[in-house]
Amino acid sequence: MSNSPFWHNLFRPPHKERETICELWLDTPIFEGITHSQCLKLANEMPIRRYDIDEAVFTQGEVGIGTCLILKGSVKICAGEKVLATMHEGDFFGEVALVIESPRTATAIASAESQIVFFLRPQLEQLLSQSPRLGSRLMQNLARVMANRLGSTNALLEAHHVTD
Amino acid sequence: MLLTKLLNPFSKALLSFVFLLLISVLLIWLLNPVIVPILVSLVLYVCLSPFHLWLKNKGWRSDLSALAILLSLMFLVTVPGSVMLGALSEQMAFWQSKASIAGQSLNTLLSDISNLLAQWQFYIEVDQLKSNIMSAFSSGDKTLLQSISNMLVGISTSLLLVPFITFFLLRDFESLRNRLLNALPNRYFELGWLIFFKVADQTEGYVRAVLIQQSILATVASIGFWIAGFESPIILGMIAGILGLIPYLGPALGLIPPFYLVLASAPVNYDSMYAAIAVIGVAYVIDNLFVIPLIVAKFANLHPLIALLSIIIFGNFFGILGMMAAIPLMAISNIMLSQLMLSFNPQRFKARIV
Repeated sequence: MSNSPFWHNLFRPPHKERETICELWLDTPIFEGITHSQCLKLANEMPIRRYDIDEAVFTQGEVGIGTCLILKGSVKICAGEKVLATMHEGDFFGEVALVIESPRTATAIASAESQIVFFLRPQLEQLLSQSPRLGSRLMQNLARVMANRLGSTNALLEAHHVTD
Repeated sequence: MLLTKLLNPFSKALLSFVFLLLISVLLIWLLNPVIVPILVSLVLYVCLSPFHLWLKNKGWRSDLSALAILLSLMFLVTVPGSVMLGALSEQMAFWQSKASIAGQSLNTLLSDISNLLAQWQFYIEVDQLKSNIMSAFSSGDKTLLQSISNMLVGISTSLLLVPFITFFLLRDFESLRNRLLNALPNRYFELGWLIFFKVADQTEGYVRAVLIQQSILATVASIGFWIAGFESPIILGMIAGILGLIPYLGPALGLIPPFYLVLASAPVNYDSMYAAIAVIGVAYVIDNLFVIPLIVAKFANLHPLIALLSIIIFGNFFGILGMMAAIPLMAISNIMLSQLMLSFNPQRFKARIV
């Protein structure tokens, strides 16, 4: 019972991994140009969840509320039966849900016992209203990340089209 | 497991909604002895949390910020609040002592109306009508004035608990919320946060908007009663503002105290009755034309029939407090149900986005 994610999610010491989370976020393009103290303040509010192997982090079509960062373990991103990518510690995914309320476009499944940190959309919205400069910086970074992902998806589609 | 696979998305959403509703009812039942101070504290929390957040962003510790805000509020509110409550209960007792004069005046007024109607071949039973009016304004052996007075006194006696609850809400609400939502199974984690944020956003907005709306209504009514020459215009305006929390029935209920005052004065000045109708009318025209569309409407988008029925049903079970809480509770239920529907049936979501 003590190994169950339920008990771990409920009684996990809240501030133990905050520094690590902050370091990991600062290494991502979303937090580019954000100071350590600003990031730590945000990281303190981020929920951390533990997932068993083969447990779904989220499912395609379900409503998403934020982006996920892998604190420990690994996650595979699938569309139907096909595995699109495998993410590891420090990687983030599901960033579209940070910008708009939309259904998840793929399914994320823990491929090992994992700990995932959620950066929630309402946290970003609150940041935008309280510290517009910091919030807009994050939004700019997010737009850049999504533009890059769109670019690589387009390139993939083009390559696929040429091969066909 | 098999059951959840067999259920269609609509049934799943409905079952989840009923489950959440049952938990809420159980929680309200358990908290019943302290429900009024908790509600007052929650309203205070909603009003004070932006200041708390601002101080925290300035680098204040959470407990110090909560304490500073509460001490400032108590300093600002205690003195004028106790003066106002004292004046209010004194005024209520004075009005109560004039009940027999008001009864006689009502009898005379109804007889005059009856004679007037008789000229056009309309006949009414004055005694029957009088007893109907008196019973409509009374619940059991309490008059409406008494129940308003009792409600205010009830709130003021539980004020002792309010600062403590508000302090802990300001200091610990976020960590308490995080712990509660962390208890959700992984599968429902995102859905739980989504529903929480939507409900919290809507409720906070509604509470702030309604407080602003009622303050404007009370101010306009107070100025109107002062211009019309009523005694205690601020108290009459405040009562109109509080009763304005009851949608649809508020204007009619707001007329009772000034009508009562007119009937309790001898000789009865009927022009004051027209003046009271004009004051309440103008206050509600301003309220409905400008204040509600600009401030309140976006936070409680309910069909008028559903709103009216919920006010009657909640009022029947929980009295004046039920009538006041009907609209926000229905709006919250509406958000919860529609969010559950969307989450259990992604096709609806896709259709909505397209």
